Amino acid sequence: MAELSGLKTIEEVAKHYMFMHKMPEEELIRCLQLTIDGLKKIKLFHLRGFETVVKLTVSAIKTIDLPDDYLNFIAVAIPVDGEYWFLTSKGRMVFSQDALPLDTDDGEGVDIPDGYYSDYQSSGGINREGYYKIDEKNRRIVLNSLQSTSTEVFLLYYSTGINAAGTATYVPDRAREAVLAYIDFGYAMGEKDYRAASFLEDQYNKRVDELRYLEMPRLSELRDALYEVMNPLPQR
Amino acid sequence: MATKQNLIDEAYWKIKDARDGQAVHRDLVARYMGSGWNQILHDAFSKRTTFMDFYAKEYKAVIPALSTENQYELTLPVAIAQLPIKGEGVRRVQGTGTDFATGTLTGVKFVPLSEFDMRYKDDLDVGLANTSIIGYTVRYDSLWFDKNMTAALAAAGVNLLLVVPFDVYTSTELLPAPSGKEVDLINITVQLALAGEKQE
Repeated sequence: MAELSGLKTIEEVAKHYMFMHKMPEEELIRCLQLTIDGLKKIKLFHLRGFETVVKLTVSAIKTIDLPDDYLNFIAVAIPVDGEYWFLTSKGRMVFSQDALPLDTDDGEGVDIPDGYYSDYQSSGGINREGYYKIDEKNRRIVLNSLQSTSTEVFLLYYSTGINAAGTATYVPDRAREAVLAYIDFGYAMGEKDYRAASFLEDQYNKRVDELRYLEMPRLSELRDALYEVMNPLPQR
Repeated sequence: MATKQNLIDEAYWKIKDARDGQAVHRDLVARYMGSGWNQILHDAFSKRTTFMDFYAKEYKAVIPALSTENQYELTLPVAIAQLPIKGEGVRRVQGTGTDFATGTLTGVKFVPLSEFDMRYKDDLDVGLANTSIIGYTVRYDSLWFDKNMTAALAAAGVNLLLVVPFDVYTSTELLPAPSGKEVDLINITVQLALAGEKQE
């Protein structure tokens, strides 16, 4: 026998809440806004698997533009043998340009000169695949020391997770209880009923704890993480 | 359930008795009863206004038009009951193309909004993520739609479910007074009629 879908649209979640609370129809818009707010927050902080990945072409001045739906940074990466290799943040990177030419006399666009050799005496803390610096004010990320063949990089980020009108936005059913609890909390805050809001925030956190339990790393992931830093040689 | 005329007659005779045989014009009785009708609807359903749907009348395929401000609006085909909660007299607005059985057009939903909500929601996520919910606001004798209203939907018209005031019912029509409230309606009418009488 077919089972009910594990995906609900944000409209269905809002209607679910209104139905259970016997709310009048004029609350639909407000309830839907709270559903969106709750889903954004839960996707950002508690749900796994909602990272967005885009492949971006590096500009002539070695930057990539942040996408419109960018919410929070995860990583800039290049592919190495089927896995992402993450670039390293370098806050001291010199950069102030919007277009060519870069002022190389003042260090703009100059590759950071580390990782010249690889030997026993070389220091660690270098990333031979490159560096980045987030320039969120100008909605871009500046790159440096990329391998010459890398004209494209992967940007991993958290998006808003809410589709624009015309495309349905889905809520995983496992997160529905947490979203509903957030709506409860949001209504209490909207009414400035802070005593109720405090109680409902606790309820929301309990639903989030349940969700976190489901989102915890699997045993195989933990085992692999442990084995990754071990080798069969005697440990000192 | 009694007809509108039956109820007016009953109140008429009670008022006449109370005034020692001096009658009040039936039109005046009807006006008093109209005031009592709105009051009873509100009192009976102020906690759960959704139950008021039963007392609403349907008006089909009313065509909205573009106003000079480029906003779709329609003039209500009849007056609505003026209830303490603004716009509650409009119980439902629905696209004429909606097929309840097949679900066609059920994705488009009309919901009542305040003027404030209508102006602000378009800039929020909810206004950008969903354009299939069409908000409307009630201004006295007209409905104004938000910018999600389309020319195609407007051309097809909308069906309205309206709670109408007492005078919209014809005299031979059964007046759907809420259960047990007919007596209250008569009593309110009599009290209003006698309110101006000089007391001995």
